[in-house]
Amino acid sequence: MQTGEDQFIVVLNDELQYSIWPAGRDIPLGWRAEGFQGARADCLAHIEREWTDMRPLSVRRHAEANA
Amino acid sequence: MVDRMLASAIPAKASGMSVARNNHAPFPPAPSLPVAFAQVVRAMPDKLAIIHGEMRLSYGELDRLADVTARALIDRGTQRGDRVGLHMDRSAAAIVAMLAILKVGAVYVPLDPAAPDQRLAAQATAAGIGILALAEGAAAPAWFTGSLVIVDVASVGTAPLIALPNLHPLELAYVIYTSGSTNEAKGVCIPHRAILDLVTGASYCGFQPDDVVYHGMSIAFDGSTFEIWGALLTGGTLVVAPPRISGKEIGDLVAAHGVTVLLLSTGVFNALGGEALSRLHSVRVLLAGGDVMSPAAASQFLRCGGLALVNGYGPTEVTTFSHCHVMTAEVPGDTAIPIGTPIPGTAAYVLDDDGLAAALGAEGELFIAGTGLAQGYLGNPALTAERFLPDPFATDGSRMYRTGDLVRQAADGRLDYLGRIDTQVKIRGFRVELGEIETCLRAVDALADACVIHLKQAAGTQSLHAFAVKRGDAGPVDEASLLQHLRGSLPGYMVPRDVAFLDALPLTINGKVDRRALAEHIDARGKGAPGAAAPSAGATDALAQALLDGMRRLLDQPQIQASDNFFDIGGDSLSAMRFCAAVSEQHGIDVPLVTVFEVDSLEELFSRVRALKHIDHESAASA
Repeated sequence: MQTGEDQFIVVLNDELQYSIWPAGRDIPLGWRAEGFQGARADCLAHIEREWTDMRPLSVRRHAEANA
Repeated sequence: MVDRMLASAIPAKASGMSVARNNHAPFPPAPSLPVAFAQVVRAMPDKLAIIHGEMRLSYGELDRLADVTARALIDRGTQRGDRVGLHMDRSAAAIVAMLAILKVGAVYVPLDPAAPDQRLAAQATAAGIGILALAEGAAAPAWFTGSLVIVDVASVGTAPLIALPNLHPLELAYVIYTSGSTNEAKGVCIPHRAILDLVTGASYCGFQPDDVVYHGMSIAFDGSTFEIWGALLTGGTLVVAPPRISGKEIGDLVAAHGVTVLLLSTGVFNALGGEALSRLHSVRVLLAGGDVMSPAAASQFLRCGGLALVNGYGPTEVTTFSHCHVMTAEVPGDTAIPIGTPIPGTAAYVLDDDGLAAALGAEGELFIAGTGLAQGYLGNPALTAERFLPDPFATDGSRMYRTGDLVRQAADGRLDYLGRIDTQVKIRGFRVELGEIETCLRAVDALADACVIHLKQAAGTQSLHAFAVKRGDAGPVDEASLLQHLRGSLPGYMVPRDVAFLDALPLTINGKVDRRALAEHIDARGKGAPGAAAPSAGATDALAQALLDGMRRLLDQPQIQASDNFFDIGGDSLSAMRFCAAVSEQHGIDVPLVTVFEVDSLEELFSRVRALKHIDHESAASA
């Protein structure tokens, strides 16, 4: 169980999908820090603002190529 | 670092016995559902695809009907990626509409016509639905103001030419709504690949063209994904069940069409009864999912000659099934049935509070990774990011879904289901977040607070009970008006049986609502109820008395009277089914399930049963 005090970071994968990860722990392979750090709820609020196109990048590229 | 092998710990040999009869794959892998379907149509255009009542559709006919509807969708401006509503019950027409929507690269969103208008309207708005598909002759819902597409399956004419879009496997095929903890259902977005992998990776079932697959799930429930696409992407025949079907009627339909693959919600499976279970001779694999399987029912099915029984597990977010436990020999009647091991393409991790792999035999939360994962929740990035996390055991940047389910992993890799972490419960196989009902109650101005609890009685019946705290300055509010408010915004299975008013909600030491104390409150009320085990006013003969006693046991309520309405006293479609099965076994009278829905009181129900008994006797005498 996470307490409100715990720090999280916002992470991104190559499909530009967002998620959160505990700060200070090794980021899983295939993911990178997006730059935002804070309480869990703040990270999620940041993602709510930033992640405007939820399609994976490969789908967006496929759609552009087939447009 | 956690060892990935330890964490997943799913040796292939532990994944249960495969029930595939052979491994020949008649159809090559396809990137999308319409391409996979087109392969089947080309290979076997005259093969029977759908049986629905008297209607029979071959693959070729189904394809042409879908093309006609696809043309209508294009004419109304449907674009690739658009979400199109399906305001339909399960039917041949609904499947034609699904295919048509997918053929134009759009996404189908099932909207259960039985759900309250307010809820459907909210879902349609959230999903941005501008076009709604309706069955021929059905009335358009009052809340919808967009375009309509009427799906006519009566005559198969010549079809227009529809060019299939070049879909990416990760583009979406459907959005299905499930209960969310806020007053907003969650739209789960499922890509084509997840469905293709569910069907082609179904080694626990092994769909073949000679399979006859039963379709009894609501299309608004993701069990229907397995039924519909399991049959139609492998050349099988799909048998569409009528609404409100009893255990006996399921048996009749299975026998009439030689059904070989039968998926039932676990509640229905548990309630079928020996008589119905013993009649499923043609079924080569029976799958049940959605709740905890009864070992007694499992044993009964296998003892009656059932070949293979599968206990399936999977949240909507992982496309019908992520885990299966296959049973081919009788199970011990007193041990819980595991949810088994992950299906092909799926990995499962049991993690502790720190996100580290739990030891074998220790309790942990289940996380699921693999190609069955949803893209996320429609229009809800924060909730998606909270539930779909980086998979620390993968190296390719893929995600894992946090189920909220507590499980324990046995040494052989099989999982035992232990319960929920939060207040999500299962009612008749439907996911219900108690928080969603509570939010709906708190929206009532006159209420300061509300809590809903879920009770499971010894007899296996379940019920929801609400507790409400009035505001000091509140206007008049009573139980009846609150229940009416809930009925207007929630599906029937989410509406509590009763609402009790308290001065304050009891709290635990930690300051959380003390749900146990509230449950005791209900217990005390039940025991102290006047008329408990009282003689039955209105039970006029031995049969009626026996039926009333049976109903009291079934619903675990000794105070029930013959004048009561079945649904007011907590009956639902599942207990109705159990009632019909019990009457069949104890009295030899077959009661159609729909009878229970037609009567106003138990008294009337019992007299209908008595009338059926006489008909049976007369037809036996005349035979």
